[in-house]
Amino acid sequence: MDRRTIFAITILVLIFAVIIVYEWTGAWTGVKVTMAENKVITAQLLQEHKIPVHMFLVFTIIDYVKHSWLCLLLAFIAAGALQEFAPRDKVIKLMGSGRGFTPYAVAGLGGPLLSMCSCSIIPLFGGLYKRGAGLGPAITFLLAAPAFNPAAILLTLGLLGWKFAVARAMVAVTAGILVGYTTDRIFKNRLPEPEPVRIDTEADGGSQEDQGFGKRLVNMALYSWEFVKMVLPLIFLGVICAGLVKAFLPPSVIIKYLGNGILPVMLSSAIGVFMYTPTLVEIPLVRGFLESGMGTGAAMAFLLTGPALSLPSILGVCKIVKPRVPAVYATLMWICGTIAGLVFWFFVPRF
Amino acid sequence: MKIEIFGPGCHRCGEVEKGVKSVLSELNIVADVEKVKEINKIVDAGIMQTPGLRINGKIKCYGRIPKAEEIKKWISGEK
Repeated sequence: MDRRTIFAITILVLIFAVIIVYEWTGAWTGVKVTMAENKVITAQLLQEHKIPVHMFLVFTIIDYVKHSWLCLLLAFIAAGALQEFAPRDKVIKLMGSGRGFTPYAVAGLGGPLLSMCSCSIIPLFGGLYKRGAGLGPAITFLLAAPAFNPAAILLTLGLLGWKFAVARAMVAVTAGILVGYTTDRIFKNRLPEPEPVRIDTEADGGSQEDQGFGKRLVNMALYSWEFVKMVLPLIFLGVICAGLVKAFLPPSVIIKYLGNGILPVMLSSAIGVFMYTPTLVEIPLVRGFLESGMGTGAAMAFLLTGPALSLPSILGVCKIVKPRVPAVYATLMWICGTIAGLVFWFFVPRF
Repeated sequence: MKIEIFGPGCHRCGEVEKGVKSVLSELNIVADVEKVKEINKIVDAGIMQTPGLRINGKIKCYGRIPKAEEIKKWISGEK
Protein backbone atom coordinates (compact mmCIF):
# COMPACT_ATOMS: atom_id res chain seq x y z
CA MET A 1 0.00 0.00 0.00
CA ASP A 2 1.42 3.35 -0.92
CA ARG A 3 0.87 6.67 0.78
CA ARG A 4 -1.99 7.75 -1.45
CA THR A 5 -4.02 4.64 -0.65
CA ILE A 6 -3.54 5.16 3.06
CA PHE A 7 -4.50 8.80 2.64
CA ALA A 8 -7.71 7.92 0.83
CA ILE A 9 -8.65 5.30 3.40
CA THR A 10 -7.95 7.68 6.28
CA ILE A 11 -10.21 10.34 4.83
CA LEU A 12 -13.03 7.87 4.32
CA VAL A 13 -12.67 6.47 7.83
CA LEU A 14 -12.82 10.03 9.18
CA ILE A 15 -15.99 10.83 7.23
CA PHE A 16 -17.47 7.58 8.43
CA ALA A 17 -16.48 8.31 12.03
CA VAL A 18 -18.03 11.76 11.91
CA ILE A 19 -21.33 10.36 10.69
CA ILE A 20 -21.29 7.67 13.36
CA VAL A 21 -20.55 10.09 16.16
CA TYR A 22 -23.14 12.52 14.85
CA GLU A 23 -25.87 9.91 14.70
CA TRP A 24 -24.86 7.69 17.59
CA THR A 25 -26.64 9.35 20.49
CA GLY A 26 -30.12 9.77 19.09
CA ALA A 27 -29.95 6.82 16.78
CA TRP A 28 -30.63 3.86 19.02
CA THR A 29 -33.63 5.46 20.71
CA GLY A 30 -35.52 6.27 17.57
CA VAL A 31 -34.46 3.21 15.72
CA LYS A 32 -36.75 0.52 17.09
CA VAL A 33 -39.74 1.52 15.00
CA THR A 34 -37.83 1.75 11.73
CA MET A 35 -36.17 -1.56 12.43
CA ALA A 36 -39.45 -3.33 12.94
CA GLU A 37 -40.79 -1.77 9.77
CA ASN A 38 -37.79 -2.76 7.74
CA LYS A 39 -37.44 -6.20 9.27
CA VAL A 40 -33.83 -5.67 10.14
CA ILE A 41 -33.03 -8.99 11.73
CA THR A 42 -29.54 -8.20 12.89
CA ALA A 43 -30.33 -5.33 15.18
CA GLN A 44 -33.34 -7.16 16.59
CA LEU A 45 -31.16 -10.12 17.38
CA LEU A 46 -28.77 -7.84 19.16
CA GLN A 47 -31.49 -6.39 21.32
CA GLU A 48 -33.78 -9.33 21.96
CA HIS A 49 -31.21 -12.01 22.61
CA LYS A 50 -28.52 -9.75 23.99
CA ILE A 51 -25.78 -11.27 21.89
CA PRO A 52 -22.40 -9.77 22.76
CA VAL A 53 -20.67 -7.93 19.96
CA HIS A 54 -17.75 -10.32 19.53
CA MET A 55 -20.17 -13.23 19.03
CA PHE A 56 -21.91 -11.12 16.46
CA LEU A 57 -18.71 -11.04 14.41
CA VAL A 58 -18.41 -14.81 14.70
CA PHE A 59 -22.01 -15.30 13.54
CA THR A 60 -21.42 -13.00 10.59
CA ILE A 61 -18.36 -14.95 9.53
CA ILE A 62 -20.13 -18.32 9.83
CA ASP A 63 -23.10 -16.97 7.91
CA TYR A 64 -20.89 -15.68 5.08
CA VAL A 65 -18.81 -18.83 4.85
CA LYS A 66 -22.00 -20.88 4.64
CA HIS A 67 -23.25 -18.79 1.74
CA SER A 68 -20.10 -18.39 -0.22
CA TRP A 69 -17.72 -21.34 0.12
CA LEU A 70 -18.90 -23.18 -2.99
CA CYS A 71 -18.91 -20.06 -5.13
CA LEU A 72 -15.52 -19.06 -3.82
CA LEU A 73 -14.09 -22.48 -4.60
CA LEU A 74 -15.41 -22.28 -8.16
CA ALA A 75 -14.13 -18.72 -8.45
CA PHE A 76 -10.61 -19.76 -7.48
CA ILE A 77 -10.63 -22.65 -9.93
CA ALA A 78 -11.90 -20.37 -12.69
CA ALA A 79 -9.26 -17.75 -11.92
CA GLY A 80 -6.47 -20.32 -12.07
CA ALA A 81 -7.79 -21.77 -15.32
CA LEU A 82 -7.96 -18.34 -16.94
CA GLN A 83 -4.46 -17.44 -15.83
CA GLU A 84 -3.12 -20.60 -17.40
CA PHE A 85 -5.26 -21.04 -20.50
CA ALA A 86 -6.54 -17.59 -21.55
CA PRO A 87 -4.98 -16.27 -24.76
CA ARG A 88 -4.16 -12.90 -23.24
CA ASP A 89 -1.78 -11.67 -25.92
CA LYS A 90 -4.41 -12.28 -28.59
CA VAL A 91 -7.07 -10.41 -26.62
CA ILE A 92 -4.78 -7.43 -26.17
CA LYS A 93 -3.92 -7.41 -29.86
CA LEU A 94 -7.60 -7.53 -30.81
CA MET A 95 -8.34 -4.65 -28.47
CA GLY A 96 -5.63 -2.55 -30.03
CA SER A 97 -6.01 -3.26 -33.72
CA GLY A 98 -9.74 -3.46 -34.38
CA ARG A 99 -11.79 -0.62 -35.80
CA GLY A 100 -15.17 0.72 -34.79
CA PHE A 101 -17.07 -1.13 -32.15
CA THR A 102 -14.91 -4.27 -31.93
CA PRO A 103 -12.24 -2.91 -29.56
CA TYR A 104 -14.94 -1.71 -27.18
CA ALA A 105 -16.69 -5.07 -27.15
CA VAL A 106 -13.39 -6.88 -26.63
CA ALA A 107 -12.38 -4.48 -23.86
CA GLY A 108 -15.74 -4.80 -22.12
CA LEU A 109 -16.13 -8.54 -22.41
CA GLY A 110 -12.45 -9.52 -22.42
CA GLY A 111 -11.76 -8.27 -18.91
CA PRO A 112 -12.09 -11.73 -17.38
CA LEU A 113 -9.38 -13.03 -19.68
CA LEU A 114 -6.87 -10.41 -18.68
CA SER A 115 -7.08 -9.22 -15.13
CA MET A 116 -6.13 -11.54 -12.35
CA CYS A 117 -4.52 -8.95 -10.14
CA SER A 118 -6.32 -5.68 -9.61
CA CYS A 119 -3.10 -3.71 -9.50
CA SER A 120 -2.08 -4.90 -12.96
CA ILE A 121 -4.97 -3.03 -14.53
CA ILE A 122 -3.36 0.41 -14.66
CA PRO A 123 -0.19 -0.72 -16.48
CA LEU A 124 -2.42 -2.48 -18.98
CA PHE A 125 -4.48 0.66 -19.37
CA GLY A 126 -1.31 2.67 -19.97
CA GLY A 127 0.02 0.15 -22.43
CA LEU A 128 -3.20 0.07 -24.42
CA TYR A 129 -3.35 3.83 -24.59
CA LYS A 130 0.28 4.42 -25.43
CA ARG A 131 0.40 1.78 -28.09
CA GLY A 132 -2.38 3.55 -29.87
CA ALA A 133 -5.26 1.27 -28.96
CA GLY A 134 -7.22 4.41 -28.33
CA LEU A 135 -8.37 6.03 -25.18
CA GLY A 136 -11.92 4.65 -25.35
CA PRO A 137 -11.24 0.90 -25.24
CA ALA A 138 -8.55 1.44 -22.61
CA ILE A 139 -11.08 3.18 -20.35
CA THR A 140 -13.72 0.55 -21.07
CA PHE A 141 -11.30 -2.12 -19.97
CA LEU A 142 -10.31 -0.18 -16.85
CA LEU A 143 -13.93 0.21 -15.76
CA ALA A 144 -15.47 -3.11 -16.75
CA ALA A 145 -12.75 -5.61 -15.81
CA PRO A 146 -12.97 -5.45 -11.99
CA ALA A 147 -16.70 -6.17 -11.94
CA PHE A 148 -16.98 -8.44 -14.95
CA ASN A 149 -14.83 -11.41 -14.13
CA PRO A 150 -15.76 -14.91 -13.00
CA ALA A 151 -14.52 -14.49 -9.44
CA ALA A 152 -16.52 -11.33 -8.79
CA ILE A 153 -19.66 -12.68 -10.41
CA LEU A 154 -19.54 -16.04 -8.61
CA LEU A 155 -19.02 -14.40 -5.25
CA THR A 156 -21.86 -11.96 -5.93
CA LEU A 157 -24.02 -14.95 -6.79
CA GLY A 158 -23.15 -16.62 -3.49
CA LEU A 159 -23.56 -13.65 -1.19
CA LEU A 160 -26.07 -11.40 -2.92
CA GLY A 161 -28.14 -13.73 -5.10
CA TRP A 162 -28.56 -14.23 -8.82
CA LYS A 163 -30.40 -10.97 -9.48
CA PHE A 164 -27.44 -8.96 -8.29
CA ALA A 165 -24.99 -11.19 -10.13
CA VAL A 166 -26.75 -10.93 -13.49
CA ALA A 167 -27.50 -7.23 -13.20
CA ARG A 168 -23.98 -6.47 -12.10
CA ALA A 169 -22.39 -8.22 -15.04
CA MET A 170 -24.70 -6.52 -17.52
CA VAL A 171 -24.38 -3.10 -15.97
CA ALA A 172 -20.59 -3.25 -15.66
CA VAL A 173 -20.08 -4.06 -19.33
CA THR A 174 -22.69 -1.58 -20.58
CA ALA A 175 -21.47 1.27 -18.41
CA GLY A 176 -17.84 0.54 -19.28
CA ILE A 177 -18.53 0.67 -23.01
CA LEU A 178 -20.74 3.76 -22.77
CA VAL A 179 -18.32 5.71 -20.61
CA GLY A 180 -15.30 4.64 -22.66
CA TYR A 181 -16.94 5.63 -25.93
CA THR A 182 -18.24 8.97 -24.64
CA THR A 183 -14.90 9.94 -23.12
CA ASP A 184 -13.17 9.00 -26.36
CA ARG A 185 -15.56 11.25 -28.33
CA ILE A 186 -15.08 14.15 -25.90
CA PHE A 187 -11.30 14.04 -26.12
CA LYS A 188 -11.09 13.22 -29.83
CA ASN A 189 -8.35 15.38 -31.34
CA ARG A 190 -7.86 17.22 -28.08
CA LEU A 191 -5.09 15.07 -26.68
CA PRO A 192 -1.62 14.80 -28.15
CA GLU A 193 -1.09 11.50 -29.95
CA PRO A 194 0.96 9.29 -27.68
CA GLU A 195 4.26 8.20 -29.13
CA PRO A 196 4.10 4.54 -30.00
CA VAL A 197 6.29 2.41 -27.79
CA ARG A 198 8.93 0.27 -29.40
CA ILE A 199 9.56 -3.01 -27.72
CA ASP A 200 12.33 -5.44 -27.96
CA THR A 201 11.10 -8.70 -26.60
CA GLU A 202 11.74 -12.36 -26.73
CA ALA A 203 9.34 -13.03 -23.94
CA ASP A 204 6.31 -15.18 -23.66
CA GLY A 205 3.41 -13.72 -21.79
CA GLY A 206 1.23 -16.61 -20.92
CA SER A 207 2.36 -20.10 -20.31
CA GLN A 208 4.58 -22.41 -22.23
CA GLU A 209 2.45 -23.84 -24.99
CA ASP A 210 4.73 -26.79 -25.55
CA GLN A 211 3.98 -28.29 -22.18
CA GLY A 212 1.69 -31.27 -21.88
CA PHE A 213 -1.87 -30.91 -20.73
CA GLY A 214 -1.18 -32.55 -17.37
CA LYS A 215 1.63 -30.12 -16.64
CA ARG A 216 -0.64 -27.24 -17.52
CA LEU A 217 -3.28 -28.52 -15.11
CA VAL A 218 -0.64 -28.47 -12.38
CA ASN A 219 0.21 -24.89 -13.35
CA MET A 220 -3.46 -24.05 -13.15
CA ALA A 221 -3.71 -25.43 -9.63
CA LEU A 222 -0.64 -23.42 -8.62
CA TYR A 223 -2.16 -20.24 -10.02
CA SER A 224 -5.41 -20.96 -8.19
CA TRP A 225 -3.49 -21.36 -4.95
CA GLU A 226 -1.68 -18.09 -5.60
CA PHE A 227 -5.03 -16.44 -6.09
CA VAL A 228 -6.35 -17.93 -2.85
CA LYS A 229 -3.37 -16.56 -0.93
CA MET A 230 -3.88 -13.13 -2.45
CA VAL A 231 -7.65 -12.79 -2.19
CA LEU A 232 -8.80 -14.78 0.82
CA PRO A 233 -7.32 -12.43 3.45
CA LEU A 234 -8.95 -9.49 1.68
CA ILE A 235 -12.36 -11.16 1.63
CA PHE A 236 -11.96 -12.00 5.28
CA LEU A 237 -11.26 -8.33 5.93
CA GLY A 238 -14.42 -7.45 4.02
CA VAL A 239 -16.49 -9.88 6.09
CA ILE A 240 -15.13 -8.42 9.32
CA CYS A 241 -16.00 -4.93 8.09
CA ALA A 242 -19.49 -6.16 7.25
CA GLY A 243 -19.82 -7.60 10.75
CA LEU A 244 -18.67 -4.32 12.27
CA VAL A 245 -21.16 -2.40 10.15
CA LYS A 246 -23.98 -4.65 11.31
CA ALA A 247 -22.93 -4.46 14.94
CA PHE A 248 -22.12 -0.79 15.28
CA LEU A 249 -23.83 1.27 12.60
CA PRO A 250 -27.44 1.79 13.64
CA PRO A 251 -29.80 0.78 10.81
CA SER A 252 -31.53 4.15 10.98
CA VAL A 253 -28.31 5.81 9.81
CA ILE A 254 -27.90 3.41 6.92
CA ILE A 255 -31.55 3.76 5.96
CA LYS A 256 -31.22 7.52 6.08
CA TYR A 257 -28.05 7.82 4.00
CA LEU A 258 -28.04 4.66 1.90
CA GLY A 259 -31.66 3.59 1.93
CA ASN A 260 -34.08 3.87 -0.96
CA GLY A 261 -34.49 7.00 -3.02
CA ILE A 262 -32.60 9.08 -5.51
CA LEU A 263 -30.30 10.88 -3.08
CA PRO A 264 -29.02 7.71 -1.35
CA VAL A 265 -28.29 6.15 -4.75
CA MET A 266 -26.37 9.24 -5.83
CA LEU A 267 -24.45 9.30 -2.56
CA SER A 268 -23.61 5.62 -2.71
CA SER A 269 -22.49 5.95 -6.32
CA ALA A 270 -20.22 8.84 -5.33
CA ILE A 271 -18.76 6.93 -2.38
CA GLY A 272 -17.98 4.10 -4.79
CA VAL A 273 -16.13 6.43 -7.13
CA PHE A 274 -13.71 7.63 -4.47
CA MET A 275 -13.40 4.77 -2.03
CA TYR A 276 -10.67 2.23 -2.53
CA THR A 277 -12.21 -1.23 -2.47
CA PRO A 278 -9.82 -4.13 -3.03
CA THR A 279 -11.09 -6.77 -5.47
CA LEU A 280 -14.02 -8.79 -4.15
CA VAL A 281 -14.16 -7.00 -0.78
CA GLU A 282 -17.07 -4.90 -1.96
CA ILE A 283 -19.33 -7.96 -2.04
CA PRO A 284 -19.34 -8.99 1.66
CA LEU A 285 -19.37 -5.32 2.57
CA VAL A 286 -22.48 -4.64 0.49
CA ARG A 287 -24.17 -7.70 1.98
CA GLY A 288 -23.53 -6.30 5.44
CA PHE A 289 -25.02 -2.96 4.47
CA LEU A 290 -28.01 -4.58 2.75
CA GLU A 291 -28.81 -6.59 5.86
CA SER A 292 -28.77 -3.39 7.87
CA GLY A 293 -31.16 -1.57 5.59
CA MET A 294 -29.23 -0.35 2.54
CA GLY A 295 -31.46 0.06 -0.50
CA THR A 296 -31.01 -2.27 -3.45
CA GLY A 297 -30.47 0.68 -5.78
CA ALA A 298 -27.74 2.14 -3.61
CA ALA A 299 -26.14 -1.30 -3.37
CA MET A 300 -26.08 -1.73 -7.15
CA ALA A 301 -24.64 1.76 -7.64
CA PHE A 302 -21.85 0.98 -5.20
CA LEU A 303 -21.16 -2.40 -6.78
CA LEU A 304 -20.72 -0.69 -10.13
CA THR A 305 -18.56 2.29 -9.19
CA GLY A 306 -16.80 0.84 -6.14
CA PRO A 307 -14.41 -1.64 -7.75
CA ALA A 308 -14.17 0.23 -11.07
CA LEU A 309 -12.91 3.48 -9.63
CA SER A 310 -11.06 4.72 -6.60
CA LEU A 311 -9.05 7.76 -5.65
CA PRO A 312 -5.73 5.87 -5.92
CA SER A 313 -6.64 4.50 -9.35
CA ILE A 314 -7.70 7.94 -10.59
CA LEU A 315 -4.42 9.41 -9.37
CA GLY A 316 -2.52 6.56 -11.02
CA VAL A 317 -4.22 7.21 -14.34
CA CYS A 318 -3.41 10.92 -14.00
CA LYS A 319 0.24 10.02 -14.45
CA ILE A 320 -0.48 8.59 -17.89
CA VAL A 321 -3.06 10.99 -19.29
CA LYS A 322 -4.11 14.54 -18.46
CA PRO A 323 -6.15 14.81 -15.21
CA ARG A 324 -9.09 16.06 -17.27
CA VAL A 325 -9.62 12.57 -18.66
CA PRO A 326 -10.14 10.74 -15.35
CA ALA A 327 -12.25 13.68 -14.14
CA VAL A 328 -14.56 13.23 -17.12
CA TYR A 329 -14.87 9.47 -16.94
CA ALA A 330 -15.29 9.49 -13.15
CA THR A 331 -18.19 11.93 -13.52
CA LEU A 332 -19.73 9.86 -16.30
CA MET A 333 -19.31 6.72 -14.24
CA TRP A 334 -20.99 8.39 -11.27
CA ILE A 335 -23.97 9.24 -13.49
CA CYS A 336 -24.03 5.68 -14.83
CA GLY A 337 -23.91 4.31 -11.29
CA THR A 338 -26.84 6.48 -10.26
CA ILE A 339 -28.92 5.46 -13.28
CA ALA A 340 -28.05 1.79 -12.89
CA GLY A 341 -28.95 1.96 -9.20
CA LEU A 342 -32.32 3.55 -9.89
CA VAL A 343 -33.17 1.09 -12.65
CA PHE A 344 -32.17 -1.86 -10.47
CA TRP A 345 -34.20 -0.47 -7.60
CA PHE A 346 -37.21 -0.29 -9.91
CA PHE A 347 -36.90 -3.96 -10.85
CA VAL A 348 -35.68 -5.36 -7.53
CA PRO A 349 -37.06 -3.20 -4.73
CA ARG A 350 -36.13 -5.59 -1.91
CA PHE A 351 -33.06 -7.61 -0.99
CA MET B 1 24.19 -7.67 -15.11
CA LYS B 2 21.11 -5.49 -14.82
CA ILE B 3 17.86 -7.07 -13.72
CA GLU B 4 14.66 -5.05 -13.62
CA ILE B 5 11.39 -6.17 -12.10
CA PHE B 6 8.35 -4.27 -13.30
CA GLY B 7 5.20 -3.95 -11.26
CA PRO B 8 3.26 -1.36 -9.29
CA GLY B 9 4.12 -3.17 -6.10
CA CYS B 10 1.66 -5.90 -5.45
CA HIS B 11 2.06 -9.35 -4.00
CA ARG B 12 2.86 -10.97 -7.33
CA CYS B 13 5.71 -8.59 -8.12
CA GLY B 14 7.19 -9.33 -4.72
CA GLU B 15 7.16 -13.03 -5.58
CA VAL B 16 9.23 -12.37 -8.71
CA GLU B 17 11.75 -10.34 -6.74
CA LYS B 18 12.05 -13.10 -4.16
CA GLY B 19 12.59 -15.67 -6.94
CA VAL B 20 15.28 -13.59 -8.63
CA LYS B 21 17.14 -12.93 -5.39
CA SER B 22 17.16 -16.56 -4.36
CA VAL B 23 18.46 -17.64 -7.79
CA LEU B 24 21.18 -14.98 -7.63
CA SER B 25 22.38 -16.14 -4.25
CA GLU B 26 22.21 -19.75 -5.33
CA LEU B 27 24.32 -19.12 -8.43
CA ASN B 28 26.51 -16.75 -6.46
CA ILE B 29 26.12 -13.94 -8.97
CA VAL B 30 26.17 -10.26 -8.13
CA ALA B 31 23.67 -8.30 -10.16
CA ASP B 32 22.00 -4.93 -10.11
CA VAL B 33 18.39 -5.67 -9.18
CA GLU B 34 15.96 -2.82 -9.59
CA LYS B 35 12.23 -2.69 -8.85
CA VAL B 36 10.46 -0.41 -11.30
CA LYS B 37 7.23 0.84 -9.78
CA GLU B 38 6.65 4.00 -11.82
CA ILE B 39 3.67 3.37 -14.11
CA ASN B 40 5.08 5.40 -16.99
CA LYS B 41 8.37 3.55 -16.90
CA ILE B 42 6.59 0.22 -16.89
CA VAL B 43 4.52 1.22 -19.88
CA ASP B 44 7.47 2.71 -21.75
CA ALA B 45 9.35 -0.53 -21.29
CA GLY B 46 6.54 -2.13 -23.27
CA ILE B 47 5.20 -4.19 -20.39
CA MET B 48 1.43 -4.32 -20.32
CA GLN B 49 0.94 -7.23 -18.01
CA THR B 50 2.68 -7.10 -14.67
CA PRO B 51 4.79 -8.49 -13.15
CA GLY B 52 7.47 -8.19 -15.81
CA LEU B 53 11.10 -9.22 -15.78
CA ARG B 54 13.83 -7.61 -17.87
CA ILE B 55 17.43 -8.77 -17.89
CA ASN B 56 20.09 -6.66 -19.60
CA GLY B 57 17.43 -4.76 -21.52
CA LYS B 58 15.66 -7.85 -22.81
CA ILE B 59 12.15 -8.62 -21.60
CA LYS B 60 12.11 -12.20 -20.40
CA CYS B 61 8.55 -12.62 -19.26
CA TYR B 62 5.46 -10.67 -18.32
CA GLY B 63 2.04 -11.24 -16.82
CA ARG B 64 3.07 -14.22 -14.75
CA ILE B 65 5.43 -15.33 -12.03
CA PRO B 66 8.31 -17.21 -13.61
CA LYS B 67 9.51 -20.44 -12.06
CA ALA B 68 12.92 -20.69 -10.41
CA GLU B 69 14.34 -22.91 -13.20
CA GLU B 70 13.34 -20.37 -15.82
CA ILE B 71 14.98 -17.51 -13.96
CA LYS B 72 18.09 -19.64 -13.53
CA LYS B 73 18.18 -20.37 -17.26
CA TRP B 74 17.81 -16.70 -18.21
CA ILE B 75 20.37 -15.45 -15.74
CA SER B 76 23.00 -18.01 -16.66
CA GLY B 77 22.24 -17.36 -20.34
CA GLU B 78 23.05 -13.68 -19.91
CA LYS B 79 26.21 -14.10 -17.91
